[in-house]
Amino acid sequence: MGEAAVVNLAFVVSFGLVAWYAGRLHIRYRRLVKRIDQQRG
Amino acid sequence: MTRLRLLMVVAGLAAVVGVALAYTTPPEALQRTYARIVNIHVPSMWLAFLAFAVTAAGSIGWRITRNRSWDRLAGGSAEIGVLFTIIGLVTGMIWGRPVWGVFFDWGDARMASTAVLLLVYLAYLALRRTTIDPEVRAARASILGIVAVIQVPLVYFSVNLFRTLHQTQSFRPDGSTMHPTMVRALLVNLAAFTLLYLALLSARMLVARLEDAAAAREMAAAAGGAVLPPNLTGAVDG
Repeated sequence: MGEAAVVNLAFVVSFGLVAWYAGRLHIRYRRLVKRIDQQRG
Repeated sequence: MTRLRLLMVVAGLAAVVGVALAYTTPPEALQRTYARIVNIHVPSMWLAFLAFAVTAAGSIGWRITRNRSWDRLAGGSAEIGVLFTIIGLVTGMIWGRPVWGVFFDWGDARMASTAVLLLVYLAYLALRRTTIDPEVRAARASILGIVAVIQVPLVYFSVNLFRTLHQTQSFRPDGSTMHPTMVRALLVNLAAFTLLYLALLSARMLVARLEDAAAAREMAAAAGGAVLPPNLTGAVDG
């Protein structure tokens, strides 16, 4: 693997993990809002 | 625009500036462009230390006040700390293979202590899932949250205590060993990652408040059909 590819890999993996976590939080938020709406009837 | 969304936009923009600066720093004499990875490796580990310190502060806050918000802060911060510890370890491994010749070395004090740090905080998150009772959860987790933070200075000073593979700190009281261009990029990335942490923590706290509200309603309904009024003040607007 080339030098630039290794550096790019480090950045992509890091920000990819942050984006994955933020996306997961967003999905949980949407599900919770829906669940609370259902509880309210 | 809510405060949370504004914080996320600012954090995202700061991260873009940080990445741009990281990619425009000149190659280092020995490590060449691999040195650019330091711009995510160091801020990630700084955030992990900050996050675990916040977990300890939240745990102490809960033990003093018994206010659920402190426990939510502790749990949320630990989750984000684990994320950034993983990023710190992975970026260190990606950098270490071409520069040191190894992905990981259990004989190195910094790497081994960081791996133990990760395992302990994974155990902390697992401990939080052992009960659905929020009071019991907070009581158990707060003890580990306070005790586990002792590892943070151990990991940080491990490079001074044991001379193994990992280099000592680049920022020292007698000055930096890095070129000013690299220092500037690193400082911008430290600020950007700190903003990312604050944005993620705010979002995590919002989700935790909603989780508690939903669980309280379900428990009340199961107890006798009565439904407690939800305490969602500020929860949706964040």
